[in-house]
Amino acid sequence: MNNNGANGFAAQSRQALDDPALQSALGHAQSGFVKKRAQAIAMVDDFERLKANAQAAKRQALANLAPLLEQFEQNLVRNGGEVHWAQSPQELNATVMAIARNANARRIIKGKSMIGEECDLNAALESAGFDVVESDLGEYIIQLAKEPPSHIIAPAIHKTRQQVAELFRQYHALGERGLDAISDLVGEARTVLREAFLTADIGITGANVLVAENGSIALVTNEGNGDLSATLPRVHIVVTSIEKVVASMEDASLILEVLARSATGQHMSAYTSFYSGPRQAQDPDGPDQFHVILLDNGRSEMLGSPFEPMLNCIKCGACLNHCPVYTNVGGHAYGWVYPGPMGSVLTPLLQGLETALPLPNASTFCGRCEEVCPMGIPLPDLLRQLRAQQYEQTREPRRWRWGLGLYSWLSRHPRAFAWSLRLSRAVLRWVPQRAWPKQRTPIRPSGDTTFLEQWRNGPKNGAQNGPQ
Amino acid sequence: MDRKMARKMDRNKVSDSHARYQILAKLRARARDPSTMRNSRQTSQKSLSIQYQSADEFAAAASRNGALVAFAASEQDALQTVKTLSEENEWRQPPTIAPALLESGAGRHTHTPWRSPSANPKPVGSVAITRAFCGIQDTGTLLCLATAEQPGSWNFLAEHHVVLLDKDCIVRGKADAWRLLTQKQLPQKQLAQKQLAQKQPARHWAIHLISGPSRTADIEQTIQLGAHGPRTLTVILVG
Repeated sequence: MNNNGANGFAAQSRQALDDPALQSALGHAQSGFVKKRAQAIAMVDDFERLKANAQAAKRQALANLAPLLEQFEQNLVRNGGEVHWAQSPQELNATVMAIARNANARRIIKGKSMIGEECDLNAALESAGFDVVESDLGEYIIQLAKEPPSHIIAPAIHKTRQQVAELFRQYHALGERGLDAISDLVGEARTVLREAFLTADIGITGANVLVAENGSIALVTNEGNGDLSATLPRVHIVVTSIEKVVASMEDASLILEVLARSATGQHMSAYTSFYSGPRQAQDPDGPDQFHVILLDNGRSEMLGSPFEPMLNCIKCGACLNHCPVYTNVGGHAYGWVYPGPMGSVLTPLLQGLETALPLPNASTFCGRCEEVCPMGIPLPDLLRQLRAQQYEQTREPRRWRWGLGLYSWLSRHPRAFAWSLRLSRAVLRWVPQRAWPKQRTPIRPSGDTTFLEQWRNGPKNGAQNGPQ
Repeated sequence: MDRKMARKMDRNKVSDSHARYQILAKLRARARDPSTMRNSRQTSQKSLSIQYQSADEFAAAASRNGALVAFAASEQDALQTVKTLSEENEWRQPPTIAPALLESGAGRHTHTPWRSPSANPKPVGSVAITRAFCGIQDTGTLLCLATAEQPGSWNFLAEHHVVLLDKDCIVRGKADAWRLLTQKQLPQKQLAQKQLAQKQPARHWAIHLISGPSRTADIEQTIQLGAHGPRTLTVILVG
């Protein structure tokens, strides 16, 4: 798919809707995630209470972000680890490379990290001559395909099994091994990547939560790839962001209670690990060096602003899975690494409003994202505020402003408004089927009168059998 | 880490001190006053005592996660169970076993050539047998500590992972598990577990919460077990 960034959203969406393989892959996603999440939540006594607790823990952490980060740093240093700070992706990448060079490393194995994606870390490392292998199956697939992730927890959700088999045939020395079943594909990746785990000098992972009270990082995975990346190489680098810190292990577990249930519909992911520093003298394994890099990249600007609630995001992906826009166009249409409703808010905030004009408008405001968000982020409201900012800064195309101006005038002139409704009814009835975009069901007027006319005539004349 | 590297690291650290200063200053300037916040947390558990749970409930939750669950009267019986499982499922021998389990004497009576870990823990045998620190009933989760005797990587390198969990060491939620871990409040009955606790360092470089075998749904949302870690997880409830 051509990618012109977030500003290419309309063209990229159209392309996505015309791609039968993508549409088939997205079909699996929608049913899987939504159903599993609903089942997991139904099994919990009071999910609303779990949500409220997780939100309270996060709210308190955000109110104390600076002292908590200092406490985290202090404890991690006491444990023998190192903390680095990065204001921008460039600074983060430079720090990773400095650590790698100091360690005389060449081979790097990576666990899945959205911060790594945000910083385009792989490209930076590869151009500096390091050998980088992604180990999460989805990330590995898109690394072979040279594509960005299309979902924050299932990066290769846009690929069908045939496309994955094709990639493996292209890049692996397969010999007699077959790739017909999904289990063959998983086994193939396991075999190839096991070697990479055992020979890597450095493991890079993300973190889901940082714990201030003991300087440890929590890492949640299902495959165990993150843990192999963290436990086997002699250096472990954690790339993460400043808003992930919470006060205590107890607060961290409040967030873990809602994370897996919202993300994959599991009560807990297969592996949740807490890493608190390098190995000690008596430990037979574990890294000799343990580094945590804390990225800001615009997050500190969000604190105390109307967009602060976005810092609550725990990257579970529930808003993507329930979004009627995302589930139709997929992640790549959004043009950067964060797609769906959370991406439509985060991308303009991190990359600049002007780089992502269509995204705040890529929403039907149906409200499902806010409903399923375990952290209570008012996503539609934040999108609305971004739209208002766009309007104030006159950033949107002229025809949008013209349309909004017309609507504003009509709604202030009731007669003209009523007339325009009658006109639209006539036009809608007349527009032929083939003039509609093929993905859209034609809108036809229901009944013979407009809603306003039915309202004026009162209940005796058909308001009860009016528009459905 | 050698000294030369340590010096290099220090130089490295200076370079990001500017970023550290900038980020913390911005956060301080923008943070709301924490004193205006009320704590709206409703934790179900008011007391600070640890709530223990029954083994049956834990077994049900662990099975839901895809773990195989077995019961054994003693550690010796548990190792006998592992031997039977190995034969039935043709797991490659010999299994690697935590030395504490061998030392406790249980291993000697099962006539299996158990493999103790060498100084270099990788690669591990096809079966790894370890002991959990405790079980968390809510989610059917095992809490395993990386120790001198049970390298953290064992939990992920073996094809088949067998975890022995003492029936008396099952708590309700994660909060109970943290308390158990920090207070080292172990039930009196468990001599072996207590010995393990005494040997433990103040800090574990890794704490692993394990809730089922390794899995992935990255291809067409179809769940496959044994992605990169163990293909099977067997919990043996002892006692």
